[in-house]
Amino acid sequence: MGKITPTISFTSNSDSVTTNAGPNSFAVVASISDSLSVDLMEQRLIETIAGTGSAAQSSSAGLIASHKILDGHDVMTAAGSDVWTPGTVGCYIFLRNNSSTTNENIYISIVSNSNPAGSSDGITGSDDPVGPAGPDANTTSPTETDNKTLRTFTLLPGEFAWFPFDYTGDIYCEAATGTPALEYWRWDKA
Amino acid sequence: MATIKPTITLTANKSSATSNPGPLSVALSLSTNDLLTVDTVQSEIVSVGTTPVLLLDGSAIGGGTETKSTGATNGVGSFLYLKNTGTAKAVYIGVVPSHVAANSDTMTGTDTPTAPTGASLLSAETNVTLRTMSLRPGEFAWLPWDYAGDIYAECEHSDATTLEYWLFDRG
Repeated sequence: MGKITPTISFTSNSDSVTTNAGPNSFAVVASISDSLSVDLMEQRLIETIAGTGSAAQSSSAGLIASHKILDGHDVMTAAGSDVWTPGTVGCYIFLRNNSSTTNENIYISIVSNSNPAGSSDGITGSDDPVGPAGPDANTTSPTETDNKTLRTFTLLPGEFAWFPFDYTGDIYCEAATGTPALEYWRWDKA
Repeated sequence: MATIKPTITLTANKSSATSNPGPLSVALSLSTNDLLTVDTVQSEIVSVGTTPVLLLDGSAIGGGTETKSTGATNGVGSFLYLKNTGTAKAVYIGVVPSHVAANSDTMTGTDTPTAPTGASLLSAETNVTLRTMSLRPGEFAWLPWDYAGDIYAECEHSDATTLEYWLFDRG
């Protein structure tokens, strides 16, 4: 077990400055940090590709679209738990789009284990939820622009995210175009 | 339109350090930042009890479209900062998708996804839970969000806690 200290800070200028004007009439400087107990650390640099028509289609380079970064249930059980105890079982995730090429965006899908009740069935859960489909019309693809999409967020080149994740599903990534590299760090909660 | 600059830094001591030892045999010091174009800023500190609170309604904020962001301006989506500002109780966050997974039904989507309830409560411990993450007191998250669904919060205990959020709409 060890300690890590994440710190996030925001700065913005007032809206009256001529360069990089901020969203408010005043400048903002904010910073927050925390000390977190963790054990296992995992780090990967993942080369992402765009989907080409199916959920896990290999490209000629052997890369996979809608690539599963993290299988929540598998990771959790590997660490010895099969119960999603809130606040105790989980991890901290850092993701960054390492590309610097415009439009080489990366779509991230946090796919929940939970299936809401349908019109003819009740609410259920699955240890192996279905991942995003390919970019065909009317699917769950991260590229879809209606409410069927399984896309949670988009990382433009240089953008990053930091969030806890309780292993309550799977995380997928897919490129909009090109092969942008996704930096991925996971720290398991101790 | 305006610009904000988020920076994240992560540090850890060596595992051999006597105070706050890190998880690795080497010390870590990582930092990255970005300049983001935003327009509307929304911020609030919300009191959260054991009944799930609808923190953010994606379709209402995003105008009912899940258009993905591109390198162009006027992208649909946001940057979201969440922090448990309480000192005693954890808060559970559910990023509830607008996508409705097919059981025996035809796959659909909805602008008003079902709130966490019963077995899908954010505090539930089975795979039915709609909980995405837990924020212990003082913990925070920073993530983009494409408005594809809703965000709910629920406290672990009836003593309740407070949750601060900042939503920066992509410019």
